[in-house]
Amino acid sequence: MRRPTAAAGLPGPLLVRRFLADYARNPVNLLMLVLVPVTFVAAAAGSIAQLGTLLSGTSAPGTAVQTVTAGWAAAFIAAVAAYFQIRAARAADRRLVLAGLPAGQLAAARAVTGLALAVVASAAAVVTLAARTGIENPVRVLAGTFMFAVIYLAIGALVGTVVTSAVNGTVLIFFVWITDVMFGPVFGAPARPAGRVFPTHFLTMWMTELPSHHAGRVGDLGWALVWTLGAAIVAWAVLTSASRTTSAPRRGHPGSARDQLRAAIRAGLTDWSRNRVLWVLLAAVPAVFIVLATALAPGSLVRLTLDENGRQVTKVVNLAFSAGIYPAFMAPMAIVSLAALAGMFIILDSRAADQRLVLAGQRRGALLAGRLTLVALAALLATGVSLAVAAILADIEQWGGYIAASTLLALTYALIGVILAPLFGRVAGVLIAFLIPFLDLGIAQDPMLHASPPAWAHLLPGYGGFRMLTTAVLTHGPPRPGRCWPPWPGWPAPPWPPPCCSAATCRRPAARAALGPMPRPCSLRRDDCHEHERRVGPGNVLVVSAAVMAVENRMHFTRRPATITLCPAAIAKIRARSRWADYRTGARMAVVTGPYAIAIMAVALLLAAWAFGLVLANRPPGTLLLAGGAVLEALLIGFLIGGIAQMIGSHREFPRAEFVIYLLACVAIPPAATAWGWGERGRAGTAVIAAGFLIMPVMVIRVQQVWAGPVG
Amino acid sequence: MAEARDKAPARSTARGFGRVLVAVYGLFALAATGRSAVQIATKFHEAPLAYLLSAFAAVIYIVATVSLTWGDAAARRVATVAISIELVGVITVGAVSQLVPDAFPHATVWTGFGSGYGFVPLVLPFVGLWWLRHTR
Repeated sequence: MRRPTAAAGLPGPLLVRRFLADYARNPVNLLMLVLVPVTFVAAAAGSIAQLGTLLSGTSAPGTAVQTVTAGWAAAFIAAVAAYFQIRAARAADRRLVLAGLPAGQLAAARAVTGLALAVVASAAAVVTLAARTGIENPVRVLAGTFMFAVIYLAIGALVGTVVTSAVNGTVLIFFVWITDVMFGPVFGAPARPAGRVFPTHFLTMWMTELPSHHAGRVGDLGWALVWTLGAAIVAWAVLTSASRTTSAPRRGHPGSARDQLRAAIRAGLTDWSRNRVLWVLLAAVPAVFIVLATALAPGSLVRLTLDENGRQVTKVVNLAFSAGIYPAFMAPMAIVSLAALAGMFIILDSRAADQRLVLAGQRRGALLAGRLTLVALAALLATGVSLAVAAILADIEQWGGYIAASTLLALTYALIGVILAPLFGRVAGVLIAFLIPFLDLGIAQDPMLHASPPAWAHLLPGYGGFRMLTTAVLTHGPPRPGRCWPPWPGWPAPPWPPPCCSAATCRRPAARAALGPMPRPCSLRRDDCHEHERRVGPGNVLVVSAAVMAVENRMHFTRRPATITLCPAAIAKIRARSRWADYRTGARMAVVTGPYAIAIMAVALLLAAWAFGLVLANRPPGTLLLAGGAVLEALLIGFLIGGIAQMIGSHREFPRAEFVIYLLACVAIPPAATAWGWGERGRAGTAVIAAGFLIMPVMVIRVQQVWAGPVG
Repeated sequence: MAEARDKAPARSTARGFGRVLVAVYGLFALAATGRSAVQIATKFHEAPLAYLLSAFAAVIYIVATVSLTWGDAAARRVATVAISIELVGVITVGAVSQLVPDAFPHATVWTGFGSGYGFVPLVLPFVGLWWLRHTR
């Protein structure tokens, strides 16, 4: 047992020696440290290499895969060692810190101990590997194995601070490790995008000498180093914070502006951590928007005018959900709604307390700065969540621009929420906080409705951010330099292949070679259309999109199947072969797709927001809401009559019976919902009415889809 | 509000949250009926199995809606059976349509676990069964 009095004078190396001695005190530990990597590499590497080759179907060189097994073995040992170090010594560490040992020094000692263990495990694994198959590139194997160990050291430390039970902790570590291994590039296909987020993805690619081609400018080694460094930093932070017993001594004068600011931010963050609904909202709102996106994705092509590197280009964009463009446009809707709500509620909830604080002597400036920091943090958090969602679903050209635009939009709307709070109060504020983003991003800036936003939309707050976002989603960035190595003449050649090279030679060379010489532009054969139509499957995927995609696949070899640039001759051909004219934006379809339908959707959403406001405020619906519903019903009857008239006047082929049934359902739903909801004078009844209004935009869009084309 | 909290056995499945649930079931009854009616009337010969399945789903939704609205002991049993069939249906059809896509070339409400309707058809039977248990 270490005596606390001695702790104050303990120098770092002594601590490390003590920790190591503690680890070696149980001989089984030491045995495992060597035995596990040795048996793992000696016995399992060969069969794993075979299995990996079988599973992935590629002819990954067997010896390269075997070098990774050394990394895996070292990783597992390092994680488990780090876990037990943290768990077993937590109480003793805290006492040491209490006795006056700086937390940083203790963390350093723990980290060095862990690294020493990792080195032993790595050495055992590498020696076995060398004895078994021989090592072609010792530097690469040694460095890679060590990086594996460091990354997993951090994972073990992280688990150690969070999970108390040893069984749960080791199972969790094993789960992380096996996921990383099984879904990593050796077993799975290296191209699977979801695998790229795993901790050792790029490290494995680098160690097995299989260039990933998706590491970008940073390169596989660069990403591996980023992961390793990040892991080291995380481990450091975790170790320091875990051994800290009380909060750090307060710096600065109590009551100074800085102190007050810090106190305001800390109190706000504590308040958030208590609010469970906030966490649910953060997860639910992006999910809801995605469900909405699946339901509403128009599945059609629109033509957009964009500014690409300073020149105006027209692009035909496929907004079908699967093409990945639509989710990229839906994510900012989630971001701005969340940000506006967060801004509003932070200000509203703290209003009374803030007034008391100012009376009690809190500086106004410090208070305001603290609140605005919290608002900005909330906006950034919302952005992060939505960006994570977008990263999974969306297909974005320039991530840097996209993130910047999202952040800009989030901050803008968070501040709008701040302004709305005192002006409108809670219920009306919620309504407006949903309405303004919808009007702004959903209608005024929406690429589905206009090729470029109308003049009045330039005045709305989301204009700049959304234009930036559109550009980032759909256009390539400035052309990359053909060579980025050497950065300037005379720079020595690097020991590894340069992380980036010219886009023309480097981007998917295999696919390019398979395509052969580029076909003549604007050639479209009928067979291409059919083939592609079959591949995308029956249903609402339109003939046009199939045809255009076929053109694109034949003549524009790009990485993005969703965005293409067409020459006029190709558009003419597609038009001749399909019913392109009906999907063109701006085509005259007065009742079904024109402003009338948008007016119906806007009125219905307004009424839905109103009714949900009543639900939140727990008030019964009044006659005014009924009058609004009557207006909507009148509009819908006009929709029915106009739609049927338009159907009779059209010679196109589309499912007419279905069209009429949808129109009838549109007319029937609001009265039915209102009648059913009116039967119970409570929250649930009002919610039914609200849901009845909310479903109307979906119904109108379904009508438009039926009008647009054949249905499977 | 006093009546709303009154947990009388009769009609209790259509109170409170049940009112929203019945509305959603009603919407799906409407959607499935409309869809299957159009399919059977216009192109039954193309995929008889899929379209009969659509009609079956529509019947199940209608039965569930009506029995949830009634809410007495007998209706409650009917609702439990109907919603259980719905649960089995959506999972079976969803799984089959994922595993053997050729078996369902024409979509039904339940194809792909109800992905065409925002996965609501998959969630709905669970909520329905929970609600029946909750109000017992």
